[in-house]
Amino acid sequence: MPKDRPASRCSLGRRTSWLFWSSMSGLGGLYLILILLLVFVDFQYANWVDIQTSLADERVRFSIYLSLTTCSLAAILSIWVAVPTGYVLARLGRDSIQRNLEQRPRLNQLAQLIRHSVDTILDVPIVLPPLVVGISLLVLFQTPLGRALDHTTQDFFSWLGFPGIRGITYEIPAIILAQFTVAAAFAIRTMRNTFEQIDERPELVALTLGARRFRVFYTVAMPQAWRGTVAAFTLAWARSLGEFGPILIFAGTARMKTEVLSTTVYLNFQFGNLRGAVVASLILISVAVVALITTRLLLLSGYRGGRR
Amino acid sequence: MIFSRTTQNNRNGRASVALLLGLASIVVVFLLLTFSLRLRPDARRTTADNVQINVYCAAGVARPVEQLVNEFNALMGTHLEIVRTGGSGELAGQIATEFQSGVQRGADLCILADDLLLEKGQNDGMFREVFPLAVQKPVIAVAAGSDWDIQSLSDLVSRTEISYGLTSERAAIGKMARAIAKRDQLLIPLEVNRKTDSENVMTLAQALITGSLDAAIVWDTTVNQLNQGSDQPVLEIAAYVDPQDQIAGRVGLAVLATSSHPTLAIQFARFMSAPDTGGPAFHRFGFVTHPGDHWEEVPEVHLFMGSMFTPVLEERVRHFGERHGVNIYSRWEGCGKLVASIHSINDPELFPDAFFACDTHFMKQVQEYFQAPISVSSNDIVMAIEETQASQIRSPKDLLNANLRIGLCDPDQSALGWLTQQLLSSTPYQALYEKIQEQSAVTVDAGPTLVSQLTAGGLDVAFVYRSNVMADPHLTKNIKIIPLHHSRASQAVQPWAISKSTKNPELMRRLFEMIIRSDTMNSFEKAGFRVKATEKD
Repeated sequence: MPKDRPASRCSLGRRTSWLFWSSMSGLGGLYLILILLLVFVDFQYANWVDIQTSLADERVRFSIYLSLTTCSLAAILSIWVAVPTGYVLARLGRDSIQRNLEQRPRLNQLAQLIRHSVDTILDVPIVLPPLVVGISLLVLFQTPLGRALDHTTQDFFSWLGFPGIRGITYEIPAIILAQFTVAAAFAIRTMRNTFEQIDERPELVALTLGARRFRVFYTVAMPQAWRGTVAAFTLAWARSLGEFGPILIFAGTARMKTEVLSTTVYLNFQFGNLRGAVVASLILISVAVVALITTRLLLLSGYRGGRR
Repeated sequence: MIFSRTTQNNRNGRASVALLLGLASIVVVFLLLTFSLRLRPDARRTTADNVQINVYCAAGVARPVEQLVNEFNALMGTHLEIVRTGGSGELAGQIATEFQSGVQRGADLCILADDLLLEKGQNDGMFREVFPLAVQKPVIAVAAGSDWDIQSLSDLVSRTEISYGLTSERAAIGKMARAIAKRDQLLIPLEVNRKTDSENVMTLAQALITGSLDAAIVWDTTVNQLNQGSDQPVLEIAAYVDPQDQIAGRVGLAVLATSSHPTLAIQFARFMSAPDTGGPAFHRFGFVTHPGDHWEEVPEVHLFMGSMFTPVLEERVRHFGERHGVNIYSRWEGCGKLVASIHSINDPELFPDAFFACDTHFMKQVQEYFQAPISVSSNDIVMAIEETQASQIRSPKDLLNANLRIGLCDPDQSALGWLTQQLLSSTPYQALYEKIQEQSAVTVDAGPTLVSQLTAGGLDVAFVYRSNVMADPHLTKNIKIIPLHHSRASQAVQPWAISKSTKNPELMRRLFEMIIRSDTMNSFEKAGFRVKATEKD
């Protein structure tokens, strides 16, 4: 009997291991099946001819191009905001405040409070219902400041040679702003996590060697954060692509004007064209999948190249 | 030091890449922005034609409206756009938010499937003009080829095996279905047994097509629209919710009070409601249309208005014409003259589209040409006397003993003259009219002329309408009004009637709506009229 023990333990181990992995993956697998089923039924509902017909439609092409450009713009703008904000939040975190203000407890508390408040406010767009973001933007642009900005933007676009674009509200810039407002919050969160995971010591060493803060940021911190930046960009881009509520309220759903892919789905559905709505959904899914795969490939090539 | 130099050198390279990426992103943003703006076909249109009309449209009506928007844009070279679709209540809610927050570029006009919402919007001051467009009926719809045999609303709600849906009360169809169910005492089972209440009718219809529901209460026109959008029928009507046809959904178009281009919005409203332009699009999708006026880019109408209305209505009629994009040719004269003209006009193009008379006496003379008249106001005949002479005159009888220059209106040419004649010929003034007429300095065809002469000092006293004097606040300072305490003195009733032969009855109906709107009626009262008609008329 004692001789059998190692063999039986090994066998038991294999059995429990199999049980462990299968039970752990079971729920995830079900979710995976659900996603695949959703895509599958969409493809079942609309055939290839429908997709070709839709792609030949000038309005659908318009919404694809507009979606791609506005999402890219919103994502780039999000990165512009997310990188410095994420860095500030990561480097002026609880430990940093504790370390620097150890001798001044009151100031320490105040700094912690401010830091938490800022952190919370930056997360607000994530938890707000999308329609609220839209309504808030709409109301913001009715204030004297908003109207002034609207008029200035209209003048700027006229100067650029686009007098037909009447400012921001109910125009293409409204789409970008609506997408940016939500996407930036996600990008900031991602960048904050990225910088938090990067060891601060090389930056401190560079500082002790006489480098200035800006130089440390773009020569030491940023090169290490490029994967996080790509991830934040992808997340912001994908979030913008699926954005609908704020666009509905703030940019409207005018065909060939402020029509992005999510709007096309909505309009087709509202006009009783379910097939058209499904085809637009499929295009939306395809664009999103292509974007995600491209990003993954980029990240993988980074790994293979030995870069962090 | 060696380590630090190496590190610095390596990172210098990376740093420049990071910086370059940052700078490149600025260029990319600019390029993408330019590209996205260039996508808009009308982005380069000049500011001269930079006029856009935003349309909010109820989901159930969106298809014919979309077709008509395209046709109108093609015909007129305009930029109308459906910027928002949804349930009627949902849209009305957004418009109310925009109205309250002062949104400048919100809706110019909206098309709702709920006449109560349209009425409420008008009462709240959000909607200035409302055009009735079409009627639709609530039905119980099932998927085409379905085995469900549903006979009536009570049949639907009593069979628990049927999974059915109706919209929320925010959508017109939901409100209507509940009203019918309440009338038929089926509201509780209807609410209890329904599987879902979506926000608008199209969402519900789609659920029916996809098989999520067995039946749904939608518009008859929704079924038609969806069937026309497919190769073969996808839905069919199982039963009408209200077989008695007492309750139906009325689709209407409202022009918002805040619209920055009301004339163009109203022009589109006329285009939509015209039987020759909007009618076919609505009929195609099974709507029963409300007959509007035939389409004309700039309609031309002729109005005959009694001269007593000039101070209150002349400016408002002109504004109405400008706002509605209509050429209005109006004649403001004594009613006797107007009646004589009506009798003598041979050219139908010049015949008045509406007549607003100073008294029913004159309307009766031309009644055969007009629809049933509506009494709008009444007015008193008074003696208007130059202030310095006022102390010696108390009643018309006093005029016989005073050496005063009296002004009268011609009884054949004006209602005022005729009514004055009737008044001064009846008890207790018997035969007074002839004596005063003998003494009168002038006999004119309209009250305002007498008032002008009185003001200019040419007359000492005149028999006029109270409104003739009160219309101009400056006059009341120098002219005293002496009321005539006699039932015949307050007999003048002003009727409005639309011509039977007019090509623009709806336009005339809207003009009448403007006349009886509370602000206009307030002006009537300030001018000495007593109001008889209200907005409900």
